[in-house]
Amino acid sequence: MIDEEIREALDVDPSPAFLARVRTRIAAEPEPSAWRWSWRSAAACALAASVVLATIVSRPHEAKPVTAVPAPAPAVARNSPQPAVSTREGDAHQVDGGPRSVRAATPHTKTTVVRIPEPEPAILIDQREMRTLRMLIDGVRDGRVDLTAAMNSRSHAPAEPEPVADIVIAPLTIEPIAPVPGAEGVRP
Amino acid sequence: MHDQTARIAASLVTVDQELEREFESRLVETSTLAFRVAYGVLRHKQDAEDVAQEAFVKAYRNFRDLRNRERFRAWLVRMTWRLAIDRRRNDRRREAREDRAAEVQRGVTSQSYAADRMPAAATSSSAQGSRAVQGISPAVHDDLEARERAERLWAAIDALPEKLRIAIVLANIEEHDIGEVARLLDVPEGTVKSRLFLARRRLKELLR
Repeated sequence: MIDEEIREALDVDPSPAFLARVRTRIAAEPEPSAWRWSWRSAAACALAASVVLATIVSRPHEAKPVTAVPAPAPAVARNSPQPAVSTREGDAHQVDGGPRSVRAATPHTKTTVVRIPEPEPAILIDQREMRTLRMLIDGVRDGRVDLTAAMNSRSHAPAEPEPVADIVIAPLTIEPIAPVPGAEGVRP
Repeated sequence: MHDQTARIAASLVTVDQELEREFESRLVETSTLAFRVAYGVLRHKQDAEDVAQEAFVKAYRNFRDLRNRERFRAWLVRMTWRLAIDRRRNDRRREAREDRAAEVQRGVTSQSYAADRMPAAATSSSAQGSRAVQGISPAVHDDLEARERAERLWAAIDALPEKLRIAIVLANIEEHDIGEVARLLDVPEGTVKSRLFLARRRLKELLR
C-alpha cells in the first residue's frame, strides 16, 4: 500500500525539453578529452622529472661531503683540502689520497672529528732542502746573506763557450818482441 | 612524421566520437531515472530537472575516467542523489534566512495589530471555510484529500534516515527489484532487504 503510494508519487516524467536542455548544456562544455589529455601529459612529465631527480640524488658522488659531528662549542677544522706537508724532523710525508681524520681540540673537553677529502697527492720535499731554503730566506731578511752579486750575475749574458780543440791521436807503433835466449821454445 | 601525427590525431578523434555516442545513449537511457531520483528528494519538477542536468554534466566531464561503463547507472544515481540533497539543504537554509528576515521586518506593531484583529478574523475565516467545504464538488474534495495524504507521505519519507530513504525511493522508481537497488547502491541484497523492511515499518508508524 505504501509502496504503491510512493510509486504513484514518483511517477513523474521530466518535461519534453529536458533532454534537449541537457544536450545543449553538455555541448557548451569544453571538450573533456583536450584538458584531460593535457592533464595526463602534465602528470606524466612531472613523474618523469621526479624519477630523473631521484636518480641524480641517489647516485653516489665521487667526493663525499664533509660530515661533522655537531658540537655546541665552536670547532676549528680545515674545510679545504691542503697538501700534506710535514715540517717535523724525520717525519714521513703522507701521500695517501684518501680522507683522513683531523682532530681539533676545543677549549672544552669535546673533540670534533672532521673527515677531509684529499683528492690531490701530497707534495714530497726533502727536509734538508726545506731547511736550507728557510735559512737562506731568513739570512736574506736579516741581511746576513747578500744576493746582489748573484742577482747581477744572473743579469749578465751567458759566456760564449770556448771552441773545442781538435783531438790529436798519436799513431800507434808496435815494436816486435825480441826473443829471450834460453826461453822455452827457443832453439839454443 | 606528419602522417604519424595525423594518424594519432585521427584515432583520438575516433575515440572521442565513440565516447560521445556512448554517452548520448546513456543519457537517453537514464535521463528519466536521474530526474526521478532528484524529484524523490526535491518534489519540485524544475528543481529536479536542474539537479539532474547538473548530474549529467558532471558525468560527462568524468565519463572517460569511468572504467566500468556498466556501472554508469549506479554512479549517476548516487551523484544525483547527493546533488539533490545538497540542493535541498541549501534551499532550506535560504528559506530559513528569508523567514527570519521577514519576521524582523514585520515588527512588534504589526504583531500587536494582528493579535487585536485575530478573534474576528478567525471567526470569519472559519465561517468562510465551512461554506467552502460545503460548496466544493466531490472531485475537488478527493483531490484535496489526495494532496494532503501525499504531503503526509512525503513528510514521513523525509523523516526517514537517509539510507532507508534512498532505498525506498529507488525501490519504487522504474520497478527496480532488490537486486537492482543493491547494484545501484553498491551494497549486498540482504542489506537492501533489511533497509526496505525498516523503512516500510517506520513509514507505517508515521502514517498511522
